[in-house]
Amino acid sequence: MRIRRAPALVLTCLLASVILFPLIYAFLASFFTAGDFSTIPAPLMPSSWSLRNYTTIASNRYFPAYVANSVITGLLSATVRMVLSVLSAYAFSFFRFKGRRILLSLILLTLFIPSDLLLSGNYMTIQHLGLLDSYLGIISTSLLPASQILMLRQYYCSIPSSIHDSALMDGCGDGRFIISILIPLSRAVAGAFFLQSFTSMFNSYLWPLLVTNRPSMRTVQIGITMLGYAESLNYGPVFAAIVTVFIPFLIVFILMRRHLMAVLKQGYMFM
Amino acid sequence: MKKHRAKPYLFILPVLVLALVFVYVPFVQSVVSSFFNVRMDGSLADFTGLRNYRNLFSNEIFAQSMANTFLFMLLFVPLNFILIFLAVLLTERESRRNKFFETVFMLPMAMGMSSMALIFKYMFRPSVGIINRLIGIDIQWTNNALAAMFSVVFLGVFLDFGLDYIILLSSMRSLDKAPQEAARLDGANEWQVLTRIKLPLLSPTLFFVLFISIKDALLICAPVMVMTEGGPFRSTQTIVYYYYIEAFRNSNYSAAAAISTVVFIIAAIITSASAALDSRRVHYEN
Repeated sequence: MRIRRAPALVLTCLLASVILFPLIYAFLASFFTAGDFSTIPAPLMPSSWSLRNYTTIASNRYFPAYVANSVITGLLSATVRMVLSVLSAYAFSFFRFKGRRILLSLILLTLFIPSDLLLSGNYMTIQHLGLLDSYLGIISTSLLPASQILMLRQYYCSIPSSIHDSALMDGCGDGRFIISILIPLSRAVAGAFFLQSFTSMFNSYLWPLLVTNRPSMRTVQIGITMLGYAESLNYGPVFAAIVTVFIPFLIVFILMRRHLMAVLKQGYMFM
Repeated sequence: MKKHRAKPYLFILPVLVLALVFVYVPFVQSVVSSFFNVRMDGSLADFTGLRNYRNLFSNEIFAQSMANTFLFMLLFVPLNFILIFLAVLLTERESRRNKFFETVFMLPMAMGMSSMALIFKYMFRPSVGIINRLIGIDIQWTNNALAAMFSVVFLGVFLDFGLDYIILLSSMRSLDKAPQEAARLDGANEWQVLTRIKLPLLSPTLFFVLFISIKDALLICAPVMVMTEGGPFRSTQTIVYYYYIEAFRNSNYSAAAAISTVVFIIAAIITSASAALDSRRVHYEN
């Protein structure tokens, strides 16, 4: 009824295969031998299916540390962002106070300043604070959850303030109100935020690259560009590392697809 | 009704401190530094007025980086837009099959930038790369300036595809169906429904996605670093990459400050235009 079906389906499949190709190729290449990478014409399939690249990467001196650093900084950053955004959104939605609008716009405006151009200033701050090569240094610039605050505030503003008033009247403290009313109400949104914050910290590149010098402190997205196998033209372990890191995200993204779509479609203006 | 006056301020205090320390202070510092000679430790030496800017505008590398950035933009924005719009049109209807394709089109989002850039770097090697084998022509992706630029553009499209797709798809799906059905009953064909009804209703979102991709193109840096390192011969070195090099490799903080201020201004123009369009978008939803 819409566009004619058969050609549209062919076109969709074609586009989907183009989009999927780099991912499939990365998977196949993670089984390549060193020789497969310099064979002409370039092969699509590995000459043998062996897990040797995966064992190489698992026994790499730093790779497990890279992954651990990324997981730790990702969890830290996502947790702090969650706490800060719930607290601020709570204050902005249920309290009237002087300067509320100005303070909210002050937070909104940070989204309009490209963070990559603040790198040198922020680097100096972190250096002065002695936080180079530390988890706190790595997560520092990711902790301001401006877009989350704005979206959560929108969400909380739809909760009648009479609920808040009567809860407080009944002796319910702010902490209780947040934990037993706000958080359960916004669980789905909060989950998607957590995943989004985790992913963006986990995958960030420039900032962790700047503030870490010791190999043992590097995060995985920097680490995989410095594994050292590429110098010997053996890219197999690099692809094995890429696939290893990607698989968990693939699973979570597929499972949380609906939540993510819901959050991203309203939240995009803040990104 | 709210008795504790200080409480809301306490709740937002950490966020305000973060905004000041990591956004406003470095921002003001960088704009101010652009009018000074800056010492190696970042402190200001002497006021030089517009000299940093004069140096910048007579600097060939700056001009080249700007030109590269605009070339990237010129190639990236339309290609990105056409592919995303096509994907949205093809999967517009909600169905089980389209659910599968939606997931596929979202997937590039789950891949980290540097992983994706490394995959592209290896796929686009001349002679031994899989891309040249598939297309059957040995394009010198790493040696030819324009080819290298195209390879970075393809990478950029992949990196932005998932998010842009979701934005456009969900706003396409939330369009009011009544005018479309009415037009169909009156004998309008699908092309007319698309161009006369859907596109006008969708235009604020379309413009928004367009502006976001223009802004992304202006600010692209890290993918270029990983994939081409700005080469060959600086032909893919973008303006933010140039800022990075001046700040962190050459420790030329005065130049870095001037570059970032120029880019701030361009970004502000692009962003405020998109924000203006975004406020028009609101009444079409819900």
